Amino acid sequence: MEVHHPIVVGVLAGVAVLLAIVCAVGVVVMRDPYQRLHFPSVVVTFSTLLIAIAVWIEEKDPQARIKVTLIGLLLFVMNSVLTAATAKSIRIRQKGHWEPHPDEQIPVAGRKEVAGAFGATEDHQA
Amino acid sequence: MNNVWLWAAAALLLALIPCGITVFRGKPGDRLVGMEMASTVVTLEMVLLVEGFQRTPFYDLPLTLALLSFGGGMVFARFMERWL
Repeated sequence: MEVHHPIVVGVLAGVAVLLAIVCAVGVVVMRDPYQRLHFPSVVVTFSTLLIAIAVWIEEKDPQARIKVTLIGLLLFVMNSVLTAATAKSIRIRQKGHWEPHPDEQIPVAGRKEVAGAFGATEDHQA
Repeated sequence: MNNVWLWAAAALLLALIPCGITVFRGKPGDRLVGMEMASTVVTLEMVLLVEGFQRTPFYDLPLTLALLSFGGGMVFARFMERWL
């Protein structure tokens, strides 16, 4: 079965662009920076993947295919690092510290103590 | 403009408007997230333009932008912790 390339490429690029626009609106309407931080990841993961697939379908030049794959991989790997660094800096800016304190009452999964209590301090020192 | 890539590039420009609104308003953390989103969108925009104009060697531009936006974002994040 022959696939009509322009239609497939158009659908892939269209979905990628639509997703990027929706996520950009999401960045504006969310309440705090921690919620906003989720939306660039969606664009990096799905829009980039869809555009890379579209380029692979359309383009016969291996140079273009390799470069668009490299761009996607770079964005994917670096965005996760950047998101973690941004979240950390926002927390330090808001609270003045990175480690959780007991008075923040942050629950820890599977334990009765809150984060920053006895066990967490021990882990931090280790 | 009978090229699906260029239409997609034109439509993707709309995604920069909310990023601009976020960057020009709010607290520094919100602005930083808006900037990171904008750099991702612009990288994809450049990929679409390169493909639309059939200039394969220009793929180096979005590649470089992806690398530099990571460095820029990390510097802003690091400085925002205490100094900005």
